[in-house]
Amino acid sequence: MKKTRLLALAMSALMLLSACGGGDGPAPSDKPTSGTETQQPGGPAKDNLVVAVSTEPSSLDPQNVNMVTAFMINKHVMDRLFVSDESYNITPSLASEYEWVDDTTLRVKIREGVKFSTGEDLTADDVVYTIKRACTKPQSATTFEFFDGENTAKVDEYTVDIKLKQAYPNALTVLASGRAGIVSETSINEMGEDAYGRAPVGSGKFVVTSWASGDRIELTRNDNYWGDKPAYKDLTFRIITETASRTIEVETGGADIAFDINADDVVRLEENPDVSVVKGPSATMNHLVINSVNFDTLKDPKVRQAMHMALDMDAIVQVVFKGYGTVASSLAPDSATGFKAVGPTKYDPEGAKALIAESGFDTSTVIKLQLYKNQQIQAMAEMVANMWNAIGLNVEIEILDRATLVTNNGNGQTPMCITTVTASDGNIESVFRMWETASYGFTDDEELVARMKAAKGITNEEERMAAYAALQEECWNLNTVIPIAVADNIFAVRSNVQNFVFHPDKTPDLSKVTFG
Amino acid sequence: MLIPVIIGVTLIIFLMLAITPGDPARQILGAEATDAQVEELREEMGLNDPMPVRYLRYLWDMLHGDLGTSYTSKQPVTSELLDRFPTTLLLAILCTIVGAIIGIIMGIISAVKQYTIFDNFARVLALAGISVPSFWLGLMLIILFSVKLKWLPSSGFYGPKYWILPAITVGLVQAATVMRQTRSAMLDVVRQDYIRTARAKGQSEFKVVMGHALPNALIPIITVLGMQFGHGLGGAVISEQIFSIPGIGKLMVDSINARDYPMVQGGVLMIAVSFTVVNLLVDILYAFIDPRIKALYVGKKAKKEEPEKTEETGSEAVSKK
Repeated sequence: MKKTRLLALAMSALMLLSACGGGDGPAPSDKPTSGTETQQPGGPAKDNLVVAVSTEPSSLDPQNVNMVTAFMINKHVMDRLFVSDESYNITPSLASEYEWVDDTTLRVKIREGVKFSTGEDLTADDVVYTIKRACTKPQSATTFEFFDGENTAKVDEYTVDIKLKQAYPNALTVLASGRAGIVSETSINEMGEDAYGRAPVGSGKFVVTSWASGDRIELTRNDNYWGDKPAYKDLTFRIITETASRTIEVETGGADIAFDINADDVVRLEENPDVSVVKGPSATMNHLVINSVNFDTLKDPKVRQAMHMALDMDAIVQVVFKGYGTVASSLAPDSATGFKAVGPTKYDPEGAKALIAESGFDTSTVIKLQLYKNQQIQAMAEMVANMWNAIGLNVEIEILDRATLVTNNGNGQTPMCITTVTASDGNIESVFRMWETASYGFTDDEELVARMKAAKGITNEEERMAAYAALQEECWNLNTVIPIAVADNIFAVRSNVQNFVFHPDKTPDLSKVTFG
Repeated sequence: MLIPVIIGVTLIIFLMLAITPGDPARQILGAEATDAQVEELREEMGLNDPMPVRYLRYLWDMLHGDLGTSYTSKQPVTSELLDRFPTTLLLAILCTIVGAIIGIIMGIISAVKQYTIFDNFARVLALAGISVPSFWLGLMLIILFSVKLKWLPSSGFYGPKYWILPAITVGLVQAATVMRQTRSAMLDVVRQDYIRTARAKGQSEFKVVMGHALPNALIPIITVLGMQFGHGLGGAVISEQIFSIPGIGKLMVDSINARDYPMVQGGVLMIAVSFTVVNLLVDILYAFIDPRIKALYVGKKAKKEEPEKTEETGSEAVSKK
């Protein structure tokens, strides 16, 4: 009797759990015509796009976050004054007209009648608030360094004068970037910043409807959107950190698009008739960074040059990226505006040995190569260390967790590490921003850093490009940053998904997707 | 019991986080942020206060039901944990059920048919179960049931068909331990005199095993199951990762990587508390299973109140057996 009661209790507890545990809403793939079933010809049109992403954003507040995934999702939720496409062509979006009043004043006329998803009008006040906010929040202030938030002011209800601290030709690029989403001042004040980051109110094509922590973020079409509306209703981002699981989700139909596919899986996926692979060069450079300022052993330019010459970059691309990558020929990825090929450096282990001998470097000195746990970076590090040991150097790999490495980098305690830099929005400035950060120890040449800073303000396009070309060449020869390769961004896409356009920044516009 | 556990656990986790390299403020802002920005954020987050001050503040807030706010998601730790807990609890229950059913059945057969082909087979399987890494097993099951046969979804935790693969993955590994424990406990019991007596009385083998041997072998089996259930409540880290299940384990790993101290502290605390509760439940369960233990408790109580009731309960237990 007691046993039966106990059993009944256990069963009811289990049912209760199943109701509140996994059951908060239907499975993303259980919505119309997705999931494991294949779509029947002539059946109802698919109304739900499921996208598997690799990381969960910490927030969707555009000025309070530092993650590409957050910007990608946010671009679907918020409008920006300007937008840039996959080739980084900038066009006005929320701005209906704009003109440069002078070198430091951009007058923008905003579309009238645009409403936030709450129904509130989007006016000049919201734009002014957003710019001021972007200039002060620690995670966006660096990008907005030349914007003068204090003096940015509204002219009338739908006109804003955006002020700059100095002439800055990249201003529109910044205004089209992920950090420039126009936020609603009223909603932030009402909800508080933290809650706003979880359910941001914007005027974009989609509205965030729910966020199940660690699992998925659900968006639904904003039917009051002022521009072209998406062809489907729901957009679900599933957070699947494991690469293999993400790939399998697309293969089994649990997701329509998956980001960050492993190069190992490309061949297998291409053989699958239900899946197509969309890939292309990313905007992210994998490079070796050497702190030549804080570490005496790495000060000798000849030794660094030898280290560069000893690396067979083609082999690294073949082994680590399975050929889905490009050997670096500059500090910046090829997609960056102002990119100039200055390399690659010829692979010459014998020459490297000779240089080491000539420099008189004590080859018994242990050189530490630090990295964080990441399959590709670890594979690169192993190859690099082997190639260096082959020319007689004594290199040791030290694997740290990411937080420790970031902290060490910030404190100037990393002798050498493999890391990445992304030229977001095609902006070459981000490549050189690392050089301005003294703790990386790329250079102690203040004049060089000053030139990097000055280059951002050169208004004449040709002169600016020339300045960046010269900087790329000069920095390449310093060998404190040894660019390795630009890996391809690889997306797996179900074959019924159409109009998915590759984006080097991993921020594709999913609103244009249709189903065939 | 719970109070010393809480104090001990919070103190240890506080000390461990204090000596772990990696600055949460730097982690939030990135390596390119200036020192001044990092310092400002550290001040704002209260990280510049001495450790004892932070610890006492944490305890004080905890007494008021506030486990702090996550550094990364900016959400209250309590609500984040409670969001994830039902998923983890459900997974733990399902895995324990799978582990118990497979483990106990195989353990019984293996003990009863000691040194037969089945026993050898089961022991090899148990050895394999303990040795096989769950991520490998999980991936193999996904390849078979999701990719090849297309029967089950490969990841997520949205309904019964999503529960099957993770429950089997973790359950099979647990079953191996349960099977070994059941086998050895059963082997001890089947050699006892009362089993021989039962057989001599002409009872069927099934009744001997299920009615006399198994109940007496249950205590160590329940202990193992309780331990595994407790571990399960701490989150099946690897399986959660592979099957993309938003449970406590995944949350903890992400939080440790992000140096999200309040979340790590809150998570560890919750795991410790739930483990203690599970231990208590297992102790209570002993009394249900073993009439001697029940008699011990009831006996004490009855002696104080009405001595004649002891007999009754005792005889009920005996007759039930």
